[in-house]
Amino acid sequence: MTHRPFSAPWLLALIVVVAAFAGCATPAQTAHMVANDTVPEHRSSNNVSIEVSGGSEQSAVAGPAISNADFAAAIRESILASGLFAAIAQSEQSDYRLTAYITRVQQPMVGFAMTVTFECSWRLIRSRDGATVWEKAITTNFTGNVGDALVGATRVRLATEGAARNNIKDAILAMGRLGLK
Amino acid sequence: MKKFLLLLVTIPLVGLIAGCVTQLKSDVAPGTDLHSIKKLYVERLPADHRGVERLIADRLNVMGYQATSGESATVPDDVDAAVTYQDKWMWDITMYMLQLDVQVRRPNNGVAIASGHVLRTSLARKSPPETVADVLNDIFRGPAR
Repeated sequence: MTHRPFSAPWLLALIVVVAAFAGCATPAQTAHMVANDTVPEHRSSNNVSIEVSGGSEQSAVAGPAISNADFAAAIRESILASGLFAAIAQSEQSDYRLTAYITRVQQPMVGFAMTVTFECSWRLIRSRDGATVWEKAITTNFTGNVGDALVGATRVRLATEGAARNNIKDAILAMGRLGLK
Repeated sequence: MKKFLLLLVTIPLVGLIAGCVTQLKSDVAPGTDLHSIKKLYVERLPADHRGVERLIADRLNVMGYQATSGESATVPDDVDAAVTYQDKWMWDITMYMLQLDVQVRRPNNGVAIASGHVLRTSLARKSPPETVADVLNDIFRGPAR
């Protein structure tokens, strides 16, 4: 059996291939960026405020974006789940201020195994004297495979969320090693 | 009719991939003052053989900074900031720079203090020096700063 270029099976195959490689970008979801299983070496009885910058809203042609609000919510939930700090506070009332500056979200445009690189510059400031107690640029990766999702855009979103989740996890583990009271 | 449907599917798809989409965005980390930066070093991306690091350094010099470039292992001790980048190229009749990400970092610990991103699809393409200029102008002379 042969198919002419404009036959229905040909068109169907084209759509499936295009969907597998590309698709419409959807934003990263907070719930999928939360690092639930993180156990820090030390826990602090102090509270912390969280400030995120460098994120962006959804873009039309590039991959899924991570907004400042969604990443901040994921950090907040991850910190509470891990117990790294006792509570989350408003900036003016907090014992520590944690800033996360999203520097780079590198996403592939096409492919089967799609690896996303996520870089964030973290800074923990003691509110009492304004001293920086910890600062680090953390780069993490995550790969979305065809087994995870057939549609390419979904694979990129999963990889983006996974890379962001790994970044939060690494940051919590690093802050857990500071031995904060 | 089938040809019409095929065109209906194909045209928006081609438009999305090869059309005239432009994105330009930059951010500065909270509490950072870029005005104190005078001397910069652009670290060559190991995979880059097109000399983008030299284009970035040249543009920074035009903008009034003292900029040099080279391998990441040879960052001079006296620079105020290190610059890193990631470039993405695409072919459409000729090769063109599709995307450029630039980060300005503290030289001592590599922590990023500013970053910029530009994406130009085929019909909106500019030459590499113009693309570099766009993103650096946005980082260092953005309206918010």
